[in-house]
Amino acid sequence: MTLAEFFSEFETTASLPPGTVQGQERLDSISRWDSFAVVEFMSMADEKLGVQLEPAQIAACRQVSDLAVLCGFKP
Amino acid sequence: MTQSNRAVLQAIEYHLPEARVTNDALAEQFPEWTPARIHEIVGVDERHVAASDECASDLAVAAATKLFASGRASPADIDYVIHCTQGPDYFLPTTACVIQNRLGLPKHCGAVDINLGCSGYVYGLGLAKGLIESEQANRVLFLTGDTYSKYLNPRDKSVRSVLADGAAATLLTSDASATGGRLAGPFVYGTDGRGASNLIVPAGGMRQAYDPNAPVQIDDSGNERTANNVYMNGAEIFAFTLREVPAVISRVLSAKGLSVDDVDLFVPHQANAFILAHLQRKLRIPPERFVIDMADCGNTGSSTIAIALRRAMARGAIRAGMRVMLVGFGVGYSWGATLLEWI
Repeated sequence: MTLAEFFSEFETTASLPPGTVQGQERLDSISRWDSFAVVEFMSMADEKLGVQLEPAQIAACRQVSDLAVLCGFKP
Repeated sequence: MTQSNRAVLQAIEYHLPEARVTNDALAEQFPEWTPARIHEIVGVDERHVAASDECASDLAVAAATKLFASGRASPADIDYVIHCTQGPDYFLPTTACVIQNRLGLPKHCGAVDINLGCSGYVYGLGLAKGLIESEQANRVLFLTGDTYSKYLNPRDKSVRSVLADGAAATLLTSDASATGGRLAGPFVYGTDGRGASNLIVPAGGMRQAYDPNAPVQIDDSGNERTANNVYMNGAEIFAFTLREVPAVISRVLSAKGLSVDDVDLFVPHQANAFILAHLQRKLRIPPERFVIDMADCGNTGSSTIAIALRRAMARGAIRAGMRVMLVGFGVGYSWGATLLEWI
């Protein structure tokens, strides 16, 4: 998966319009980034990236790019 | 062990309370949601909710009454009742004792409550097998029932979307001529109390008293609850599920020298259809051999496996010669899995 594809996956999870995520978006400013979206994101990471994330790791992220780094993408 | 004291799951009946909460009703209350979105994230379309004066034991008694009406057994045949609930009638007496009287079970009948949720069905079957195969009982009535709706805060969509009320009655017998699911085992269990705070009703027991004036907390997702309400950390529960469910399935299979392909049907605890679908894909189990059946009844705790199993039996998905795996997991954390062989 490329970083662009990762952002696209995030857009789907957070119900954001396609092509709107660049990485610097603050997670606390995304209204649909709720507890269900976090579970969907964990599912996507496990299934498509083979990364099992811990909720505490996700909670420590401030913006979308932090999630990307967590999933193995280079900053 | 003789052939006659092998425990067999002979029959299941279940009961759901009449009132329902639909996705339309939830979407009306939570405008940021649509019915389709709710279905997408939890796989539930409606949940049954007990009346204000209806207890979990009432639901369990209704399920047992249905079982007796089916003619598979009469109250006089029962010599042990196990009642699994997280919503007892009283702190004391034991609700199973109250149920013994209400159902007209014999006085020589043993009666015990166990407090487990999502793993409770597997644990209860394990206890019933022990009672039967050690010749302490011949016919065990295993009841599961809960009214989680009474713990829900109406402003907490994280749990209102998925938790629901319901009960089931399962008949287990030592009768050598019985047909049904032989409790072949092994029974594999697991516990990790470090997860206790991730699915909890903090107040109402001895550790923290019920407080009618408990302050309302609002979480990052806008859900409201007090210490008297159920709290669920969905992300932690999902992480726990990914850690432990594949592992417990592997332990059961390894103990028998089996592979996933040797199991005809998996009936997991119906926690959340989204999570179950993820597990099914992760475990590479074909969808037709992995039961997800909760759209019209939600997550009823220890009754989900019984309800899903009963429905699978009713639609002919389980036949003699089939091997069925049951997997319970959740609140505690507590988990367990076992195999039934259909005869």
